[in-house]
Amino acid sequence: MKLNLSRQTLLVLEAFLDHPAEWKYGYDLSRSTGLKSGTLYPLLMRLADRKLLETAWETSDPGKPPRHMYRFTPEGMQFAREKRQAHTTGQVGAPVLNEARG
Amino acid sequence: MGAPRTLAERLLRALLRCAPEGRRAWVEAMLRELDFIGLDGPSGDWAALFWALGCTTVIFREWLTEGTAWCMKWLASLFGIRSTKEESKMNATGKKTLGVLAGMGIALAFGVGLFFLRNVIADVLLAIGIQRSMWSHILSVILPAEIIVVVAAIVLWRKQRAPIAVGMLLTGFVMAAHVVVTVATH
Repeated sequence: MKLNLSRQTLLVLEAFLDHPAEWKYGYDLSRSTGLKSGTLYPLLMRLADRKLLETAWETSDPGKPPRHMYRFTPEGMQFAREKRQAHTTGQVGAPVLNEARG
Repeated sequence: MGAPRTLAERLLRALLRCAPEGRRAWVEAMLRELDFIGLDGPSGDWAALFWALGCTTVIFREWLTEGTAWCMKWLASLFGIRSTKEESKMNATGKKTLGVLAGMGIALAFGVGLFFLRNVIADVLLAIGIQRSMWSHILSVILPAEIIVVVAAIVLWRKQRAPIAVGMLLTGFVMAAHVVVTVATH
């Protein structure tokens, strides 16, 4: 499965790199990146399929519905840092993420 | 809870039922986020609806991708094509036939998907004051579907995917003929 390192993907990677150890929620990511759900979720799905992102259900208080949350795996964090560095030095072209093994 | 938020929830719950098996957890995740979207008044209800509509497009794309892959695999096995590597060895007629059948499969899958969502679309119309009738169904479901199929066929044709475009147009034509016959006999 191929994932393009588009501007939107970079925005998502950046959002995760900001406090990478923290779990993040879909709507919060949508607000922080400015991406609509129709753009954000395919990116999250591809990142998770590639094992660059780990997902979990929030164990919340009784009566409160659980919430899906996401954060980088160690591979994801390394990948994002490499790509951010490559992007800032202008080495990143269009399709890149198929380098990542999934 | 306002009407748009109720509609958003119903839409995502409907999606949960027809989403591909591997994506159900994601739809559940999208549904859960609704509880946290725009809790600041009526505009939040619309934000929830737009959120749900975005999620719908995601699942439709996933559904189409999986459906197309399944169709291609099934057709390949039907025609005795063992792997995609051997596709290049196929003769031109075989490739064209496979393309036409794939196009028909895609258009049919799209039609079936819309058929399952017809009640949700009717609810959207009801929310804006349009009563359910045969004409509202034709104008809100069938006509847009036909337009999408024709536009997709034109795009595919221009991208040198003429057999798939022909398959889609054939299915679109059969669906349109069915509607015309139904309307004429009623």
